[in-house]
Amino acid sequence: MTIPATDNTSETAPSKSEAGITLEILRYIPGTHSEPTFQRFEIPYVEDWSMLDALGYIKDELDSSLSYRWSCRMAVCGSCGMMFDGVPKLACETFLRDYYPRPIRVEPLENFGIERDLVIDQEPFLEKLESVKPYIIDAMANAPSGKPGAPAGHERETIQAGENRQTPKELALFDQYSMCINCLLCYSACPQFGLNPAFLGPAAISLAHRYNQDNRDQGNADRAPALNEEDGVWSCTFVGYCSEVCPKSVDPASAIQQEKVRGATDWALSWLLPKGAR
Amino acid sequence: MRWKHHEPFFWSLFGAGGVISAFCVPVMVLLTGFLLPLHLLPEAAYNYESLHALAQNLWVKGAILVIVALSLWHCAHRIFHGLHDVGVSTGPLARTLTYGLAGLSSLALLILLLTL
Amino acid sequence: MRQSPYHRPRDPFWYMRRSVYRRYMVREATSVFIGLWMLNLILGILQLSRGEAAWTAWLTWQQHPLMLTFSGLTLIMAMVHTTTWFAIAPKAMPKFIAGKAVVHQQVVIGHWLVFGLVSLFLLVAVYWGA
Repeated sequence: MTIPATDNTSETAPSKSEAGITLEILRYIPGTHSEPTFQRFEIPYVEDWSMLDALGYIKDELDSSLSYRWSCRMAVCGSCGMMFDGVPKLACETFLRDYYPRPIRVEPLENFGIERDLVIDQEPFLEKLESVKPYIIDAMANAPSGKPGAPAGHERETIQAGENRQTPKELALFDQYSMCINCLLCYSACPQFGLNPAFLGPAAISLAHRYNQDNRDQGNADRAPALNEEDGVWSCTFVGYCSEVCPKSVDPASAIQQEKVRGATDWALSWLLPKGAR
Repeated sequence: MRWKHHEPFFWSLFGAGGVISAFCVPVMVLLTGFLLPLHLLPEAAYNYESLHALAQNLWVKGAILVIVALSLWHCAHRIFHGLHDVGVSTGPLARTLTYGLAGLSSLALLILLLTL
Repeated sequence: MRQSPYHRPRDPFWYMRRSVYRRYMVREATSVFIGLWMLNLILGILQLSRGEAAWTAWLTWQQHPLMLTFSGLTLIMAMVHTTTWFAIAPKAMPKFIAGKAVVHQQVVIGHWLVFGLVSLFLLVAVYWGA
């Protein structure tokens, strides 16, 4: 593969090898483009380059107008999710060598609005995330009073009252779901979210489940309205692709199923219990 | 909290039907779809009187009702959501044609079994 | 002011795009076959209740190549349903049952064991009980 001379003459190019690789990137600049179009970039092929390195090379050497999100470069921050050949992945842990010598199609995450180039609109997701209250609610409600011999109280107490201990088993109930980095790959994998943008979606439900499963948390009832809605857990048909693309093995599909079971129990109880107790 | 919909009801029966059909349907299809029409079952299975008598057993009736009704509900739920997947409406008509058909067929089966 | 984001047109045939989605659609389509087969079974029970002639007519119809093909497809689809259902069953389970950690692989194997027992029981009942 030959590389156009104008693309590759820079001194900062780390490799002067003959090999090159083509990236076809979906470009969209509001005000300039009326709709997204693919732009081809010929870049040197460097075996240990991640897609993020490749995008950095393009931005530094070929076209500084290219926009994409990134930060940590090590699959922790969840910023650099995008589609490579139609598969949602993190750019920082996807490598040129896995595609070479074929050209690679790079697109912004599917099922989201495009802000600019590879940058998608996260706003709707952030609203959903907020709606499930992903934080520990009323942590000290069940804490021991801290004084030897004193009965465990249900009244609110300050943190000075004592530690809120957790056994390994109690931790195991939510540990895996706490690994979510909000990278949104699961939303791009989910056809139900594509069909119905109001669907609460894999990550938000996983995080809701994470806090529902935490024995320090007293917020299940606060999260129930968002989860129990028709656009909550019930929009999921268990395609299961969310769990396949998750870079952190969170397994959102399992969280959603378990929240469905909890929702079904809630629903049954709403019929069985007297009105006041619901 | 107050429920504005009853999806948990539809889903729970779907789940129950999914479980029971996963365990029972393959062997049922093998028995009545192949072994029976291909005359591979013991002779008694081709004796109308004994088959009719078997169907009158209360346990057999109960098992048939539970398996068929729940499986039908399971299928209705999947078809209803499948209609949504392929872009067909999921309005009251789709609901009636799927869950309604499953419910009516189950009711017909119940009456049939009671009068058998 | 913030520009409103660009939304790409949706693909109405999204389910053809990925093998995961195509497999999902096959899984969902098992319901069409199982459902129709159940209706055929209800018809059989109706004919059984209507007398020997009606029953024999239904049984003869089951021997038609068309019906045998349908039964064959239903058997394949039913096995697809069983396989996919067992594979995802552990995901709907809690992490611990009666204090013991749920091991997904064990749950799947357990489901297949029960499946084998149920199938064997019905076959034995038909061949020995008859």
